Amino acid sequence: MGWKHLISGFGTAGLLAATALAFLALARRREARRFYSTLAAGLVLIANVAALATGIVAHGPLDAMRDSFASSLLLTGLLVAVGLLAQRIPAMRGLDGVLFLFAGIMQFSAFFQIDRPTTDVTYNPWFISHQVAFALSATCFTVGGAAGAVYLLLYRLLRRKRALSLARRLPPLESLERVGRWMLMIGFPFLTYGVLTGFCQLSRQSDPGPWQWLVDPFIVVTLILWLVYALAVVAVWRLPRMRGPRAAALAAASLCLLVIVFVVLDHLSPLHR
Amino acid sequence: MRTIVIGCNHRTASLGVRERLAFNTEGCIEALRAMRRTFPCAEGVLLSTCNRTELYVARPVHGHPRIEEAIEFLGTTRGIAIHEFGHSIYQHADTEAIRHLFRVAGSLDSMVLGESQVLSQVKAAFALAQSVGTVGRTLDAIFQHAFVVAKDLHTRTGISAGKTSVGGTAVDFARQIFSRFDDKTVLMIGAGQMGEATLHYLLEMRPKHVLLTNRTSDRAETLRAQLTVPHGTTCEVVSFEHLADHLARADIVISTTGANEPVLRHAALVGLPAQRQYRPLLIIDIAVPRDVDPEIGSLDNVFLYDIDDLQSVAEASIAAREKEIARCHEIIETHVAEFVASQRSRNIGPTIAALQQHFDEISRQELDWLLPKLVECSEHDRKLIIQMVHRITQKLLHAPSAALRDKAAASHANLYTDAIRNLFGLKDED
Repeated sequence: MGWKHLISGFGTAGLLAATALAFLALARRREARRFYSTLAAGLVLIANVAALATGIVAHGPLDAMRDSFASSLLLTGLLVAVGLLAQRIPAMRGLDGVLFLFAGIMQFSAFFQIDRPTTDVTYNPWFISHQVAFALSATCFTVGGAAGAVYLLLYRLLRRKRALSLARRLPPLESLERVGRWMLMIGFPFLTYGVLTGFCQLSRQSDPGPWQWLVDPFIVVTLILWLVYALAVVAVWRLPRMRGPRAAALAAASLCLLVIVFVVLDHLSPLHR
Repeated sequence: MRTIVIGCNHRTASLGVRERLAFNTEGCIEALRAMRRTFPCAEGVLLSTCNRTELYVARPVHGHPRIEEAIEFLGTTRGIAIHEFGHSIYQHADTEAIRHLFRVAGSLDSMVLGESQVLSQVKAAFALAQSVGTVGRTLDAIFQHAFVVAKDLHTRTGISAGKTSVGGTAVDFARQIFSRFDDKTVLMIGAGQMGEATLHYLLEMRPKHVLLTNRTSDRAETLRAQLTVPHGTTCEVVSFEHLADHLARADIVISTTGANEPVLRHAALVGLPAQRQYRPLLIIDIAVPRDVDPEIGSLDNVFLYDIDDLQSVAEASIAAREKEIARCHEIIETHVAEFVASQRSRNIGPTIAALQQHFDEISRQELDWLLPKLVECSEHDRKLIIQMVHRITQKLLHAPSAALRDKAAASHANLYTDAIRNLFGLKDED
């Protein structure tokens, strides 16, 4: 067992603990639990940054980022950083637990990226920006999806007039909607860039043939994901009917699709290496 | 100094008695001035709210007023015979009086547990007594500590969590839906008293527009004239006939008409969410019978709360606050113990100083008698005699002073200071 396994295992456990503590702090209004949640997530962030920095010092930034494990750590680190930020920003109160949960899932998926063989594609200079763009878009969509999930919870509580003490600890619906809308607007260009760079690379490959990607589950679902987010952008900005709970549900559902793409389908894809 | 409190509150006295014992600001000033004239050595703070009238007094140990005198003073000031209100009066002395004030300032003794208004009232009563000049070192220390205790209770416990009034709860709901109010429009339908109270709460959030509408526009106009609208908020009376149009503009609706039938019906408002571009709409229906068809609550992005919803939330807040009482008592007990210990050690100082002064005075008198008779004595010998007398007094004082300091933190420290003061005929401090 190498240090990468340790980082993944420690990070997953730490982030799951941070998630549980963040939810408990929210439900029981105990600030001490939030402190321990911050501590656990902070330690994972430090470990991830240290691992990334070690790779960059040892191999240089370009070579370090060609490693799929490093890009998983980058994505997890971004999610944890935003989660820690959410604990400090009133408009994002209560999102920290959801962000730590998704960061934990990403950190767990890093297990399967360890010693993953690299192909010639990874030596393409566009590859780094492709990785970073996907990491940034995934971060934005996770924040947006988390805001959507919390929006749905709060909407339900307020409509059913139940558990209002919990509702008081969450940000107002208006703030959650605003966070979700902006995350969508910021994340979508990054996702588009990631998809475009991916296709540029595919078009340059001779093997497999030019239309072989149509049967690759990762690429097909990524395209569907892009389409869903494109529709969401249009809907949220142009269709008033899509405001509020519908937009929140769409953001939360898209987040689930995103996790499926990044965690499950990535390993089933013969092309996406 | 001894501290006493006499008074009555909503638990011990009927509204009739409380009304007769209540003081307005001018009455308070007059009463405090009268107290200063009658009991010049005493300190006093008079707290008079709608739920309580209390007189806090600090007096020298053997001074006045005693508890009976304070009760009599209160009755005389208000022109009421003791037998009319004596049965409603409670009295506490020393540590109990301090504990009582801490409970009052921390709103543990209030009708609505955890409300913050009583603290402002205690602060105002204290400031008034200061301005009249009836606050001395003792009451100043006790009241300043009471303010610290109140702050501690509010920050360390959930005693003030949640709103306990209908208006406050409505604002809580609005805060859960909207993050800002300076771009929001509040529409008030009707001009009922409860609706007006709720509107006052919402006006504190400084909305952009307030629209008032009523079947008879005169009442709406009267209400507009009575409202204190914050800077930056516009207020206008709009016609009742175009209610649907106003609903499309509004973000928060307070309905409080006296109508027997719903004013807002579901069938008429099905298209409202689309008309409002699906913006959230908070409707607070305080009317009985209800003004708003409950089905409207099922429309997209519409949040409808009636009087029962608001009241049940307010009652839940009260129940949650009651769970915090035990913790509040613990905090108060810690503060009382700290304060009493600090006061005891502070009381020892003046007694020692008075004892020293007493001995110095005797020495001075004896030297004044002796020195003129020693005509043959040189200046050097005179100085030696003065020094010797000083050394004797210091040595005599050393043991009792040390014993007093040792007893400073003990609960019976007052016994020692009282004994010393009685034995040596020392005057009470202040």
